[in-house]
Amino acid sequence: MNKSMKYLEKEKNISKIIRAEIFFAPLLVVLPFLVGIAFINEWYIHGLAYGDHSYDIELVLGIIIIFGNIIFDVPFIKSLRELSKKK
Amino acid sequence: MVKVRQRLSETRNKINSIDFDAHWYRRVFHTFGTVFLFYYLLPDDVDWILFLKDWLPPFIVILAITLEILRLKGKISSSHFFGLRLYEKNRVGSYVFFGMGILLLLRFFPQQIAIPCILCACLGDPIIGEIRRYYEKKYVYILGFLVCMLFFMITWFKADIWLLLLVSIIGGFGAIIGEIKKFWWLDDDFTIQILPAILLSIVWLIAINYSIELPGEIILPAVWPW
Repeated sequence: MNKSMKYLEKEKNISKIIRAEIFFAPLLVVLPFLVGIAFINEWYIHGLAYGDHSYDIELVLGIIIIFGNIIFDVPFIKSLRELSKKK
Repeated sequence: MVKVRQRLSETRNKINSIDFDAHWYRRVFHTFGTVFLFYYLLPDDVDWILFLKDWLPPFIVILAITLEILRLKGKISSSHFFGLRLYEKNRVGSYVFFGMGILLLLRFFPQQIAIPCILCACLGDPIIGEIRRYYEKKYVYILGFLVCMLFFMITWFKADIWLLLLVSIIGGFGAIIGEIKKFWWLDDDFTIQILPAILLSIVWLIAINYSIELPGEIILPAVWPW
């Protein structure tokens, strides 16, 4: 049995890992969503309101950021919940 | 004997669940990198924001390098770095390469080149990783190339059609080569963003030399106060 397996075998260390992950989860999930909203907001305030199409790319980037993150956030949160239940 | 077997089975299950979890954690860590595009949205005419724009990205990378040096020297246990791959135990972690790549793009490349390259690293890389899990290698290359090409097409849509196609093909090609070419000492998280950026810089310089019209800035800085 190698070192990493021995490390993981200890219940205490598994708890540590889960805690570290849960600690970062809100930041990893929420911040990209807020940034995506900021991009869409910029497009809405300066682009849509004034009919300025130079801001259209900010709408596209906002959507890419939000959906790109949601695609991976959902399985991440699911796996986190499953792991927490197991623990 | 039965007890030992049961214990081993339990341990295997735990390790499998941790591996699965770390897998999604690494993916989310990648997609999280898209927040750095906010850098371009920050206003250019406010002193304290300019100060943050200048110093916060290098500070984050220097902090990551310092942590990595301490980890490799054994001052900090690798167990504190969740999501590290086994082969990263004795070499620089991929997150440092990822951060360095983004820092170089933000500081030294025009945003027309930096933005699609950052998208390739943050979204293209995890998408390619997922494709790799379910499909054969040839499909990984083709689909990965198309995904990365799409990011260049979206960000260069204002350019002439021939330039848009040229940039998208070169960018997509550079990103997929950067992703599939593995080195022990250089992570693909770095090459997937820097290789297309270098190739496009050559195109950029040639275009300037021949007075070819290039698209303007993609993200316009916000006006302060919001």
